[in-house]
Amino acid sequence: MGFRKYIPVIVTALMVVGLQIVLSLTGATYYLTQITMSAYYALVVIGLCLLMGYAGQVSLGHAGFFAIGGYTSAVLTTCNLIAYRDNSLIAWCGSLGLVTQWTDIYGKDILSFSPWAALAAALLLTSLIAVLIGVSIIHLKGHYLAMATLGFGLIIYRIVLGAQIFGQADGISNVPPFGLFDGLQVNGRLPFRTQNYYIAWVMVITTMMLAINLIDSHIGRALRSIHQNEEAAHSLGVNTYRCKLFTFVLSALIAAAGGIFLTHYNGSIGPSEVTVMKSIRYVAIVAVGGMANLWGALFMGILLNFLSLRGVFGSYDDAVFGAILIGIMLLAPQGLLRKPDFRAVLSFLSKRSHG
Amino acid sequence: MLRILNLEAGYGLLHILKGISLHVLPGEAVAIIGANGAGKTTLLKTIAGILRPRSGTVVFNKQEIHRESPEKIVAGGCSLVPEGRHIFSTMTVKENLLLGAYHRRRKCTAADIAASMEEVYDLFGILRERANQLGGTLSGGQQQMLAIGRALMSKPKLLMMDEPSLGVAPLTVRDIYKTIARLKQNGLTILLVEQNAQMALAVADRGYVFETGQIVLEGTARELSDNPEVQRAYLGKDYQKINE
Ligand SMILES: Nc1ncnc2c1ncn2[C@@H]1O[C@H](COP(=O)(O)OP(=O)(O)OP(=O)(O)O)[C@@H](O)[C@H]1O
Ligand SMILES: [Mg+2]
Repeated sequence: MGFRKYIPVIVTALMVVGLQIVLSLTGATYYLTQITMSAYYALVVIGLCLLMGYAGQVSLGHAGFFAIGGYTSAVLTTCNLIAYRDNSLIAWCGSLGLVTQWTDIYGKDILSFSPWAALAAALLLTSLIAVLIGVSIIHLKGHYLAMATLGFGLIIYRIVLGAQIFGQADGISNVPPFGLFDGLQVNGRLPFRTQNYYIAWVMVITTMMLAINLIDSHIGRALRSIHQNEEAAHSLGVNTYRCKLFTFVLSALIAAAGGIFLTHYNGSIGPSEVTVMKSIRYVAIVAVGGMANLWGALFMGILLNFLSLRGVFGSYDDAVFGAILIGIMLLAPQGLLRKPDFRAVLSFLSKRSHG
Repeated sequence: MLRILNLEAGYGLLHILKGISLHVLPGEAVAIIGANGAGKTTLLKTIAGILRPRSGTVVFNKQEIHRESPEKIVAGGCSLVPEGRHIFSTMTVKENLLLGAYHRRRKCTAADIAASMEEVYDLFGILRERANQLGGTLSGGQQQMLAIGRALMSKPKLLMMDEPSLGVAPLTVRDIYKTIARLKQNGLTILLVEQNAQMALAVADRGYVFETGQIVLEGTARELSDNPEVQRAYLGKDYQKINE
């Protein structure tokens, strides 16, 4: 049992490697860029799948958390502190390695916070905001929760669009690459393409393993039990308030991580990442992936984002995701990609052959 | 172990329990019998903290629990096997059992919990065989065993069971009651609600008879089985005679 749940992980890893080999043999490596971006978006989807499918809570504000991650990192790694170089506080940060000096594409010297420091700050800020919001809304149910998170998403969007520091409608560009370790870096430039494909997938697969283990833990069991039979769960002494809050914060952090790395990968972030339509898109992907089906959500997250980034949906992009959501809610509210019940299929077949 | 005084409870405007007083001594098995809608389930739900009483007190282990949350009551050692079993059907047998030990997750090691699971498996061998099967695929009787096992995983001092024979084949009912008798022998205190009065009074030391939210009769299991009223209403003696 312990090993069996990792089989899909191994299969996915093999498929990822296989895809890269096929694309490089056919000379179609330009696809890798969009797959890498899709992988970062898929992170958001995985986190949201935990929240929607297992904690039973809909969030229409996850683009907001994505943005908090991306924008915090972008602001901190692009703010030029060179004028304050001699300030003792900055010097102290420098001695701790929290600030670094680099040269942007125009050859200007920039002294800014290092991506690692920015990452820590962004995740810290995200958890703080997620806890504050979670504590106040997690007891809400159904559409009240959706409305509250929708409100949160709208507020973040307005802040991003209005504040000078976030570049208003232009967003923030010239975000430096994120040097991880040993020459590995989250960097969207051509020479780093294959490397970044693998970096993104390592993150996705790590997150998947985290999610699988969470579902298998006492938190996951508690969430599922409440989902299925609230009264029975209560009679066993299962109190899910904390479990729900924990999942909410975790999914917000995963979304923020997606935002942080995609921002470094693209070298920029703009308000289009923060629109409510983006949040709805994530919800639609989880729904079409089968709600409580992490692998389905991952698959759909990669596929639909990839198609969208390739421009397959043209100017109907947002409409496509809206239509998907409406279609799912009308036709298959349990989600499209359900885990097939092999036992049911087998018994059906055996009945057929007997009869 | 359990002492209830003048308990009143209901749903919304519905007044169901009208001043119930009863007690259960340590190591005792007590049966509550009564017709449909008499309020037996309501009583157990109120003790378990799922339903708030309007007035009256519930004292468990010398502590008032009628204002406590279900979590606290389970953690305090009072577990309910709910009517209709309420198995988590899309979770495996093992996961169902682990959920029973939910309140012990901080206090106990994984080994303690595994040991409890072994005890449950020893009690109900079929659960060991089906450990990785989904709860919903079990038969009615097996689900009842799982529900009892799940409640036992919380290491209760008092086990409350609501109609364990409901929807279970007669042979399996016998098995389940054998297990209940064994649990009692091992020193567990039991409060049992049943319509199947014969079975319940066979395993119980004492009993109470419920009618429309009130206790109309109480006594030792022997006294109740011999009581002509009880025989007529709940043991179906007349019915048997007619059949003969
Ligand atoms: N959730 C509820 N809301 C409103 N009324 C309820 C609810 N549950 C039970 N009742 C009512 O309370 C009364 C007592 O129900 P209860 O389930 O306690 O009876 P019972 O003795 O357990 O009966 P049975 O032997 O059929 O299980 C019934 O009249 C029932 O209709
Ligand atoms: Mg009942």
